[in-house]
Amino acid sequence: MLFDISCLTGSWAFRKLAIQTLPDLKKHLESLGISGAAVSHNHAVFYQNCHDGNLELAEELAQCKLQDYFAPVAILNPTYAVWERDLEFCVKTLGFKALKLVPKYHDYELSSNACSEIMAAAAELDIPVMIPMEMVNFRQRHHMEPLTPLSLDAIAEQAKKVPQAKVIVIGAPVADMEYPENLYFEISRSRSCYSPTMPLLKERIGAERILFGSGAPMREVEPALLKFNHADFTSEERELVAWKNAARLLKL
Amino acid sequence: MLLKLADDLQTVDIHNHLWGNKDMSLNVAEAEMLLNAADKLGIHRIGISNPDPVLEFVPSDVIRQRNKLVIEAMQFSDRFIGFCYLDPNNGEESVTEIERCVNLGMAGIKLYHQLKIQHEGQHFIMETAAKYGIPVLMHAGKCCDPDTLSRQPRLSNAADFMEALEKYPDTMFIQGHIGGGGDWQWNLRCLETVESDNYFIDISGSIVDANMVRDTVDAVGASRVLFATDMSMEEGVGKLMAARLSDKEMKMICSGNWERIAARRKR
Repeated sequence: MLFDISCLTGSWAFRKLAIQTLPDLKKHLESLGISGAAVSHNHAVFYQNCHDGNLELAEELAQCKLQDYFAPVAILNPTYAVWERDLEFCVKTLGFKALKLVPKYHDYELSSNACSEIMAAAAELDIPVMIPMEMVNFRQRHHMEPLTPLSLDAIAEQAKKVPQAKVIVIGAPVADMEYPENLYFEISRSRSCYSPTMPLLKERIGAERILFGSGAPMREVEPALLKFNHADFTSEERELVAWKNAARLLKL
Repeated sequence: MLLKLADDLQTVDIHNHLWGNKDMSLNVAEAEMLLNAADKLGIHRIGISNPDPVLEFVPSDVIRQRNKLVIEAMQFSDRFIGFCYLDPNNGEESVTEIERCVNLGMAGIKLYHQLKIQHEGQHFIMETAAKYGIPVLMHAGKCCDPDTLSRQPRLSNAADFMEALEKYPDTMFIQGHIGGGGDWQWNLRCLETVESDNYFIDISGSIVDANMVRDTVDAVGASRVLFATDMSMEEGVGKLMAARLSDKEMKMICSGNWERIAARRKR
């Protein structure tokens, strides 16, 4: 089994994506041997009232009857009206499994009190918080996109401030640093073959906190598969990274 | 399980690097690590160079030291294909360095961003490359962020290469890393009308955006696309696999196009 922790759906404002619907995404992932995925809706990144994007995701999941394949992830802005109510509705009514934060797109500081509050609320609801380092590489940014990515240091610092939250870093290169105990790591920018960084990551946080993810359909899945397949994991560790960690965190 | 490119593709990674020890001698452990990684991913040969990524001007004595490392690597393993690094600001001294490196078996020239590719100051290099029938591989991109733009103000993009093809019609160009960061779609739009047999582009870089390789092939034709990684090795192999190319296209990109380039060498 292989579960992708970092998928997306919907259109992206600044680049045409070939795959924009959940059925197409499922077909694509299945063709690569992936048996389930966590997915957020791109529209929630761009809508002023971002919760509308979460509702679109819930609606499409229900219409396509894909709740068994996809675990929905809410994107919310902690500086927008009634995010507390939206988060609770996403989790308790719609069955969302995680929260994703995109502070550079929603114009707040990762280190802000607002951010800490929504992370604490996610912890209270017993769901993890995903923080992508960037959605699009900053060097190819559209002029309306963020100038710089979040730094791994800043994400780690914020995770330390809210120790009860389980924080999953998405799309960050592995760094030689101290990782707080509540930080989990998606592998799409690690390395397993040349100048490998996966061993360092495993040494610092253990296989129990490493998760397979690709960033599909904005990014190709095959590079992440190669990183996973070439990683020096025992068979037990391989299962953890492939799906067991995700299943535990998302309560699948 | 997805692991490597098929051996019969005889894949050549035409854009990679070795950085060596502090004294710019070959770091054997580094070279072995690169070869081992290539083995894991089904890469047979590796084009290497040792450019200075920081300096605005790189003096000739430093250039020679950097190229010496490449020669040591070629002596260490015949799987390494040498690219001679140059700074065009050294003027005619570049001609001597090209001759030295070509005579020692190097197969191409590597430029960084000291001058744009079509700049008049490149003429010694371009004319000598044409004389020997060897390609010029250049670091390239259409970066959109202020930081990269300030650090690399003379970074060449696809429009610059189109101008260079007109200005230096006898020189073979390889535009480096379509996936090296920057607006790759902007580059591909500029290249839709390319017709020259002297133009090639490599797929290297850490960016693995969906359809980037397929779109590159559609824009310039498979006969102008070269496999490469620029140290992002799983990324390079993975995005090539993801492009769902025909067997013929794969063979061309992995090795056939490079073989055609190498066959054009004159001396």
